[in-house]
Amino acid sequence: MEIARALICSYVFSWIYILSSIPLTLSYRTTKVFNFAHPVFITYGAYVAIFLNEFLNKNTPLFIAALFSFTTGGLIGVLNYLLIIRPLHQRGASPNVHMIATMGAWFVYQYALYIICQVLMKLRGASFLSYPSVEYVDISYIQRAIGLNTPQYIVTSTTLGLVVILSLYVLLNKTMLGFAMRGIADNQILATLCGIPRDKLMALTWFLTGGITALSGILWVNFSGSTTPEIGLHVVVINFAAAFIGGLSSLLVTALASAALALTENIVFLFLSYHLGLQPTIRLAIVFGVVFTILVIRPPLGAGGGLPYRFRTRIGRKVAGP
Amino acid sequence: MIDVLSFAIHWLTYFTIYAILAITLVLEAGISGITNFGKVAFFGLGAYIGAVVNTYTLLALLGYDVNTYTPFTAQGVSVLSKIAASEPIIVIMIFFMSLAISFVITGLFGRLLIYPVIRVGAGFVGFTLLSVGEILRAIYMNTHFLGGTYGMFGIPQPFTWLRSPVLSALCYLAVTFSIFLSAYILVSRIHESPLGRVLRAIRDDDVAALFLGKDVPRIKSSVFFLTSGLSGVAGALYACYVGSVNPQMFVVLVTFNVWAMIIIGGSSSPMGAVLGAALLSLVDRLLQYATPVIGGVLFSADYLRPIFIGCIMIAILVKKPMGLLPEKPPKITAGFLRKALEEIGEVNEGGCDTCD
Amino acid sequence: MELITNTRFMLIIASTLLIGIVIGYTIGYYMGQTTVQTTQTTPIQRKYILGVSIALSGPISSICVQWEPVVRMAIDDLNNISRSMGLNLVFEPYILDDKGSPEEALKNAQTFYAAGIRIMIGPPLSSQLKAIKAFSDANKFIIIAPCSNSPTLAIPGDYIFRTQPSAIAESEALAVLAIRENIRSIISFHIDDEFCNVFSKYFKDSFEKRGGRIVHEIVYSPGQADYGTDVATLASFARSLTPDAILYCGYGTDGANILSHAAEEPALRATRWLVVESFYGASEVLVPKIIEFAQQVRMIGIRPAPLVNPLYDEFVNRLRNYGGTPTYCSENVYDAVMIAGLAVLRTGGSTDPDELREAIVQVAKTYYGPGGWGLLDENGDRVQAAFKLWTLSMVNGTPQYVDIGYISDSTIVMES
Repeated sequence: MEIARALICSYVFSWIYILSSIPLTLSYRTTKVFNFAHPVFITYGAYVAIFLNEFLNKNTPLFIAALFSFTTGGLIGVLNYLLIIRPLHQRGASPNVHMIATMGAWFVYQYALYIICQVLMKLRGASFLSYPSVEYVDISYIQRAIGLNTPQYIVTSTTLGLVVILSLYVLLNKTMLGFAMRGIADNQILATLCGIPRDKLMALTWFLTGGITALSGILWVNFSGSTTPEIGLHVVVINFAAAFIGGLSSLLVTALASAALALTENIVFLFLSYHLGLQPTIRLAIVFGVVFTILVIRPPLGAGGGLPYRFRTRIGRKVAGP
Repeated sequence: MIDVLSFAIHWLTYFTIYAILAITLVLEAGISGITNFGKVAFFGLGAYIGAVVNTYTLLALLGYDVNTYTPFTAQGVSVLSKIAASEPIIVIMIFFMSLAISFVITGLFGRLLIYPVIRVGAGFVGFTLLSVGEILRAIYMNTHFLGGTYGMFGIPQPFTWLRSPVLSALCYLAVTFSIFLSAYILVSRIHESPLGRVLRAIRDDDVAALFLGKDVPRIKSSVFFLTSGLSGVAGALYACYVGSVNPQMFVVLVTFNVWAMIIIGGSSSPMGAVLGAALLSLVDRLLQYATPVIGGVLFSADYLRPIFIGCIMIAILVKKPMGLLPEKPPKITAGFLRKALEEIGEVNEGGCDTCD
Repeated sequence: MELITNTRFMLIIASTLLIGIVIGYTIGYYMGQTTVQTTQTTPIQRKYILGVSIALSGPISSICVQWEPVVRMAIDDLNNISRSMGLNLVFEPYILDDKGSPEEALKNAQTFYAAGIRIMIGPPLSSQLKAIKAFSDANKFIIIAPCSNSPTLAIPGDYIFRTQPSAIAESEALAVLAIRENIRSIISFHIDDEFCNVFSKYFKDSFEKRGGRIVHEIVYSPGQADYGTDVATLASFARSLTPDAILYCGYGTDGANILSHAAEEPALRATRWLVVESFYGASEVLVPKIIEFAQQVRMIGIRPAPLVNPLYDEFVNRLRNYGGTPTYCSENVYDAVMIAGLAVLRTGGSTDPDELREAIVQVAKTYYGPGGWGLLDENGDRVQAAFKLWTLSMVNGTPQYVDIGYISDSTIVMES
């Protein structure tokens, strides 16, 4: 059994999923908005790296790609907040309304990207609708300098993943800004009464959400042999699964769930495929089966908790009384 | 000039099928508080049941070997097309039978599914049901009997034997419209009945409803039986209308299209769901006629269609967050109660701000 | 109160319908002007619109977006022919995005039909074609599909024509080639779609009839984020079963992903690869890493094409002027538009479906284009018995698809 490739895939995908799932949970727990435009951040993050690669004649440094992708994703997040989420919030719209409005935004961004790709295709004669992998020159240079022969995407994902997660940890746990964000997440009214500028912090949360998620896109283009405008959609399904397992509230459980799903998708499936002869066509069904089982057997009690029906009989007995 | 009749028949058939889904989603999500992100699972299951009954049963009844004449091979499809044109009575009988079977099986599937799903709490029901939809799709793709990735086609439309395509399509529209109307009346009656009040109570606070003695899981499962069954009927209607089923038809996006319909129309109002379904399906089709008018030099003009639809969705929701037809306050028929509530100002004239 | 709410509701409904009717009528009036009426400025010209349904977005859009310039080029060529013949017909394309979805393809067909269009080019996928078949049969709506070649749709007497040759003959030719190359055991690795399933099934039949053996089959789902684990599964079986070759069938996007992963797997670098034409032309595959891999594994691909066809080279060169590059089925798209247009010219611009159907069959008999001879069989499917062999190679430092031979009537000729 060729376990090495499956391990590599699990490892890189863990980082891609972590970088895109954590912001999803972060945005939900802070703003209570179920953002259906989340795949846009991943896709635009990836395409910023692709456009840079094309315009810099395939000499893109990782830090430049990260800077541009982070800024683009962040600006899209803030734009969504200002144009859609804040007006809806001010009008007292329900979470479902936010969800469908952001789905409308997804349509707009997705097809705007198709237009950009087609215009650039006509102007530059290159196909952007399915683009080969992008190598980062600065990482290549460092690898050559220190004689590191591992595939570039392992170095890129480790470096970028660790930097982002550590920065996020420091921001949320060691700074006043992070305390304020957590305060907003716990109780918006109380936080506002304590003098926390809710609107500014919401905008900042969306900027961070968009920016960090976009970084998963630049990891994607480095790893995958082909990137299409649909890429965000493929990744976001796992993001939602991980965020739900994390109860839409715990960043740590979301990160662990992301890694666990990456492992299930790769290692577990390789084992089942090789030893039991299962076809890869049922891979997604296995992942969804795992998610379904986790949610049903051990429902997370997070932001979306609700009535734990497993206690119903006990409650019923108590109510009925002797 | 657009052939208005042809346009209207096809749009209305499509609209009525989706309106059934939208109405049932209103009963689930808007009235009962079941966040169903797995709508496509029941729609797809109904479609596949409809396809199986209308092909395999028909072939078996007429004495064909179903192992040779499968509804995903050229021979099977040719035979089915001949049967559809020459055996009107049996085709119509099987068609109505397929609707009934779809209703029962899909309804039972929904009822069985709600028990494990209801454990996960309101916030997670949606994703759990979404997972079910994807698992079912994988099963279709890997089941040879259902055509696997080939899907099934040659599913007879019950009025193909009528020589005129317009007449045949009109008859089919009459069937879909009747079922849509029945579903609408049923859901509206439930909405205004004592059961509707219980459902709204469960939606607003299921713990309180439970403590008031309402058997929440049983009521939810009964509602889910009805809505899943009706979604299955919509699926069977869709399969016979299109003439084919394929795993690619039942993707997650279908669910969210229906969600968009009810949210735009008004998530707690059956009439709102109908309006949302009509609006979204009509705008999409009308915009297709605008594509050649716009033209396109640097990019394809048809890319602007979804952008426009997205903008319309955002604009409507920002302007009217409760949807075009928000939920009306419940009717209070008892005169003394109404008077008492009026005195304390509880009966308002507008929509319900906290209903979604 | 209820009366007021109902009145408001009725007003909303009425105004929605009114707006819909006004928009529909305006657009319909415009469409009417462009489709059937004689324009005032050039009274002798009649516009004839051909419907085109292609996946401009969605999973196969990278292939289909390149078909749009092909359609425009073919329409220009048709108009030149019409002008040179002194006819008053001017062709125009009406291109709609079907997203690769069966439901969208059906909606497009219905839109075209309601707009008075009687011939549609597309859709790209067999699953989409199946969703339109019932509508096409009922309304005698003519469809020329440029990229569907599933035998399940080889049905005589309908209004569907296909310019992509059947997958059966192609799979048989590749089986002949495999046996001649001394390949006796193969792992079949392909995407779970109609074309590749059919190709794999018929290849297996043909290969095993000639003494070969398919030792294992691995089928992966389309539209996944990544295929690294599927490649790991393939490599595991390649190591344990030690086949002589791997038969791969996939498209540009998944193909580039899979080949780039395979290039890093020693077990897969040690086995020969036979590939199918479905990713021929995809630019994302043309990267040095994959080219080096293709050379290492002596990759051979097959594609239906006449042995010698200068028209194809001319087509490729001319397409550059329209900003396009040829991808999978591009030449068949051109042929589909040309056959449709020439049939319309032959009938003098008729919209009668039976007349047009007969004209298409007759035109196809004498038509020769970049995809070769247009001859259609009794099912309305293109007949093609010759196949080119190709590989990936560096030519003057540039990665390219290179023809290396051909197969015709079981005769294999390798050029180098």
